[in-house]
Formats: sequence, C-alpha cells, structure tokens
Amino acid sequence: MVFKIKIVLKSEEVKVYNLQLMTAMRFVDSVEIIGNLRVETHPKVCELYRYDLLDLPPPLSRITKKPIAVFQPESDDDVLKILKVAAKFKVPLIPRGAASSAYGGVVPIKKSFVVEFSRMRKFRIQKNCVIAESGANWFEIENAANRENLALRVYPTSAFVSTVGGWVAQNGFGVGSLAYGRIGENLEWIEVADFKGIRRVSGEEKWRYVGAYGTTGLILRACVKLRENKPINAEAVSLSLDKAVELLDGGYYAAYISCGAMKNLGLEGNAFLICREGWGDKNALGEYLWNRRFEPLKGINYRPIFSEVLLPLESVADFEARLREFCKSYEIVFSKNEASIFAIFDKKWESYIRALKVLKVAKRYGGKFYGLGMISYVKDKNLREFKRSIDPHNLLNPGKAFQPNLISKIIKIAVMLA
Amino acid sequence: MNCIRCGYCSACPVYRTEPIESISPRGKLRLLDKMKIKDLDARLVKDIYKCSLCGLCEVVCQAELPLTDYWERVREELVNTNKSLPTHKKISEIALLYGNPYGAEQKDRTAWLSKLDLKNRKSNTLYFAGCMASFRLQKIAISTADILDKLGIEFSVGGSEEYCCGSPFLRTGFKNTAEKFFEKNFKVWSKLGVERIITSCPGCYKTISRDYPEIAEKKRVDFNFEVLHITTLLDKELNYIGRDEKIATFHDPCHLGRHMKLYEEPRRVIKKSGFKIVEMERNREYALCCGAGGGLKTQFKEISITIGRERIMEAKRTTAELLLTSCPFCVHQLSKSSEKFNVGIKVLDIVEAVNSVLSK
Repeated sequence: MVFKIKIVLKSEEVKVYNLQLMTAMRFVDSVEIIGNLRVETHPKVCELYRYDLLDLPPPLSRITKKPIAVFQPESDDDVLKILKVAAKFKVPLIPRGAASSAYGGVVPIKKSFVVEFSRMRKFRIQKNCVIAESGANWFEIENAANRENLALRVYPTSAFVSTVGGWVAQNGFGVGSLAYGRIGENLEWIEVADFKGIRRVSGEEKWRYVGAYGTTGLILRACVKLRENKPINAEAVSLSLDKAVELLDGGYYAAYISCGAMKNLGLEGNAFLICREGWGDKNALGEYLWNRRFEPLKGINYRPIFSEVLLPLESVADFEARLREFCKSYEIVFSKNEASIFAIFDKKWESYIRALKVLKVAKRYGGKFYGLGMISYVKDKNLREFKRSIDPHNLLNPGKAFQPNLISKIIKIAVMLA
Repeated sequence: MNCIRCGYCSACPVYRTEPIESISPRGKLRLLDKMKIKDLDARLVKDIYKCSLCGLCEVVCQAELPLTDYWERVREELVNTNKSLPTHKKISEIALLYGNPYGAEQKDRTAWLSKLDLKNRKSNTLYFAGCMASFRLQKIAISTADILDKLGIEFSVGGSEEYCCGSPFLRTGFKNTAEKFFEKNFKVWSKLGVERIITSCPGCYKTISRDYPEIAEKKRVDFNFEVLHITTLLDKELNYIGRDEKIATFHDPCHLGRHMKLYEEPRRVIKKSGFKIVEMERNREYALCCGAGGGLKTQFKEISITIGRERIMEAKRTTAELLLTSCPFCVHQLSKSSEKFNVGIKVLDIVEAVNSVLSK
C-alpha cells in the first residue's frame, strides 16, 4: 500500500511524500501522531496475531491475514491515537484480548492493525461493582473481589486467561449465568472509543457494543456488577438430561457432562452438576467438578475441533439425544433460558464434518451458533445502520458479527451440506 | 508440541511483564512449529530466551505438555546453532575456566569452611554446598553444615574439589559445559567413596538427582548416589524445636516445587521450627517465580527485577515478618527486591531460620 502523507517539519515547512505504509508510519512516528505508542512490526511476531483458539482447516485459514502491525495501548489517549492513525491511513483495526476464544473474532481477514489490550489491565473493586479496563483478567478480578467478600456474578470458564473486553465484546455466558444471565446483563456501563472519541454507554445503548465484537467501537473499560460472596454448594449426580433440566430452578451454575467428557477426567458415567449460592446439598463429585470449572480442556492431549451452539432449554434434551449419535464428548452449560453445548472432537478430517453437523442439527431444534466472530453472523439492520454512521469506512473489525465474510459464507454453506 | 492455543500459559510471569505474543509460551510454540531454529533472527532468539524456566506454563497447560524440558531442549539447539545469548555464553566460558560461574578462584570455595571445623572429615555422605552458597551466600552453607552437626549427621565436603553442578548451563542450553562439570564432580565423588549427597540449593538438587543420571547413562557410567535436598532430610530428622511462633511465609523455589514436587517438606520443617505459616496468594505449584532463574537475570535484568518486585509485594501482603525460602538464588533475588523497593520484609533461607532456632 502506498500513501500520500503530509509531513510538517520542525521548520514548519510542509512536504508531501509517497510512502509505503510502514515507512510512512515510521515517518509519522518521528513527527507527532503516534508519539510513544507501543507498536510491534516484526513480521514473524505479527504473524502470531493472526490466530486465536480457532483451528480452521487449511483452505479457510489462508483467507485470514497477517496484521500489518500490533499496537499495545496503555491508556485511553493511546487508543484515540491509534484510531486517528487508522482513520488517516484507512487501515482496519482488530481489537484483541487474550485470544482464548474459538470464533475468530480477533482474527484479521484484511490487512489490519491489531489493537491488543494486554497493557490496559487495571481494575478497582467498588462497593457492588468492579471497574475494569479492557485487558483486565477475570480470574484476578474474582480473587480481588473475594478478598472483599464479594464475587463476580458471572465469569467465563476461561477466566484464568480471558479478558473483560474480550468477553463483553462476545457477550459470553459462563459460570453464574444460570442465576444472572450473560455478561451483558451484568454491566452497569461500558466505555467505548470510536473515531469520534470516547463515550460511556449504559441501558439500551450498551447493546450496540456488547456482543458486537468491537465492530462498533473499541471497549476501553466496563463497570461489572458483583454479588455477595456466598459459599457455593456443589452437587453432582448421574441422571438424564431431561430430568436435569427440571432441577435448574434457584441454581447458580449447572453443567451436564457427557460420558465421553467424564472419561477424559478418568471418571465413569455422565454427571449433572448443580451449584447453588449458600444453600443446597453438596457432595465430593460436585466439589471436584466445581473446582475444575476453569479447566474445561484439561487432559485433552490432542488439538481438538470444537463446535459450540446455543439451544432453548425446552429443546436441549431432544437435541442431546440426536447429538449422542455422533459425538461422545460434550459439556452443556445452562443459562437462564438457554443452554450452551460445547462438543469436542479429535482432530481428524471427518471431525470437521461432525462439528458442522452439530450446528446443522442445532438449527433444527431452534439452536444457533454460540459465538459469531468470524465464523457466523446475524442480520441486524439497526446495528448495521449504526455502524455505518460511526464507521463509514468500515474500519472497526470488518467482516465480523453482523457482517458476512468469505469464511462465514463458506461455513454457512458447509453447515447446509453437512 | 501439540499446543491447543488455549492461552492458559499467558500466566507466564515474563509474558505478564512484557506481553508480546512471541514471549508467551503459546507464541513461542507456534514460532518453533513454523520455523527452523536456524532461521530465527536475533530478535526472536531473544524472545525465546525471555523465560525463567519456572515451569508455570507446564502446570497450567491444558494440553499437559512437558514444556519445561522442551524449553531446555530448544535452548540446547539454539546453542548448537551458534544462537546463544552473549551473557550466557560468557558465563559458560568463565565457568569452564574457573570451575564456577562467578570467575572466583577454586581455593576460595573453602572460605565458608574456615568458620567450621570440617576439614579432614570422612563420611560417605557429602554436603554439596553449590556455587552460590560457597561464594556468595555463605551463611546458607554454614547454617546447613551447622544443622547437620547438631543433628549428629556425619558428612564430608568437597571443598576446593567441588565444582559447579552445571545447572546454569543445562538451563541456558550449554549442555556440553554441564557434562564437563558432571565428569569432574563424578570423578571426585567416586574417589571420596560418596554414597549420599545432600544439597541446600534446589538447582543443584535437580541437576544431580535428575539430570546427572541422564548424562551418566549417555556416558555409560553407573550413577548410584542417593541425592537429598536439605528440606527432605530435615523433614525426617528434625523434631519440633521452636515455640516463638513468628509469622513466616514460604516462597516455593521453582526448582524445588514445580520441578521436583517438594511442596510440603519445607513447610513441615518451618512448622517444626516453631514458625506459623501464612501462605501467599500464589503458592505451591502456582507460586510466582522470583524472577532469577533460567538465565533471565543475567540477560534480562529489568524483567527479572519486575518479577522479583511482584513476588516480594505479594509476600508483604501476607503481613508475615519473615519470607522464608529454600534456595540461595531466591534468597538473593528476593532480599535484593526487598531492599530495592523498601518493602521491609526479612528474607532468609530455611536453613538459616532453623539454625537460629537450634542455636537458642
């Protein structure tokens, strides 16, 4: 890419150069716009920012792109500077947290700048909430809240690694969602940055950003609601899924673990884990499964292929009966009104077909993709219009969440054919 | 290495200090999967060496990959392709010349002995003091010898015939250097008729008990020594001796804890000595490294200082009066951190604490 840029020299003389983007970037760096921003341009290092947990088969992985540069902002000002540079050079921005998700939300599909929030990870616990920067880690927040006899209402099972910004951008659900719903329902407000500046949004307005994968703005920080840290009583029993669904009332966290997934843990039979805040029975298996909630992948000594879908509670048992025919290892986590089914396959070519089949079967039972990111999209006219108004050049994480891309289109067709 | 890219290894203390993907274990694995060692440029080599070999990545790895050994093998390959880091190379050269990584005269190795009556002792149990305790933190060597005496355990010392165990070189990829030290030490121990070796340094302990048998097998010699870390021995031999109930916290040295799985032995010794233990938030297998290991301190001082600061602040938050550990390198790093950042917590090796209680 060649850019024409204006450089104002110290002598106030103005010169115009035609430069390759990176040369221009370096030049601008020495003048004013970038200032002291941390930017990584080593090609092999940038290549590492082309991936998350998602393991695309080779033909599809070729569609993804190595970023031009990786920025690591340390403050809101840094983020604004990056937005300014991106707007100036018309380069897309891909926000990135821990890249611990498997939906490709942080994977560039155009030549882009990655904005990685690992250096914005401060948080402070307040009376009933925590105000956390985008790169703050859920596990550290939970530990700090626990010291104040508080706890997060909801957090991801990947809390050990994942970040506030990443999970909010995904509107994920996880531990605690049975009682408190998705993360989006537990936010007082969020602060976002776009080409016009920084704004704090709450109420209905926040839904323009929560679950939008950074396509409408970069999440800078969030005010997340906390709960009183009551002890969790965990009980696990072996029973069928339709019976398990009847026992969800009043629960804090519930998961159904298939025989195959239990086998990975060296255990036999299936298990239904139900955890309640400060009440209910507990047993040894329950405690064990509760304590391993942060390690859903532990013990899988192969690079697995995942499929994760959401089902309405009323159809999850019927779906599971069908799923059992071609998948042995899966875990179901329950939310207020829906269940997330996380199916795991070993890495064989036929596993890709099976993973797609999970999605196809789920659709038949009223289900949908758990995550959108790069692999799927929803048609949302309002969000598209909103994006057009704040991001006319489509620079904020293009081709994600509610914009189709080549990969999501191919996957859509593949699901139909599976 | 079949990395599933879950990113749990982002707990790495070095990556947390310098969060660039090529420094994360996940990123390093991806680089090494896609590139040949010979094609790594100087920047990438540096990033790969930005690691204290603490082994936390291996503990949190969801795919349960044997990462610590793997990093050592990668470093060995880097050295074999002339891509070692300059400071590491220099230390290796110094050690080959002097018999220790500090460039000290071998005769000075006996300096700590002058305060004790240990010369001309004969026993098939050898106390292997190691370079750090022989040249730098002599109190650790003196305390260990004193305790052994007080417990009536007969032992001898190698004195000027003790050589570096080779641990710093195995960790930084200079396996040939380590093998040379194996040969020297093995020869001395065979000559002295040693059957049991006691160490107070976990680096020496790991090297002699885990790495030496492998080197011996390669060199086709029998390696029949019982190797003990002092905390294991004290755990067996020490009775309840103290009652002053000072509050102490314990820092698990990486080589003793995560690498050799000795977590409870040092804690029992501390309790037997009359101290109350309050744990740091990160303890046992999840303990934060002190930041000194794996050649990190010698090559990347700033990162090492940052990690040391984080650990000493964590100890401070426990409100313990004493920070005990069981490794001369951790003692050195954490006491320097305590001084530098004016934290005001006293750092001692367990043997110093036990010896002071025994001396009362």
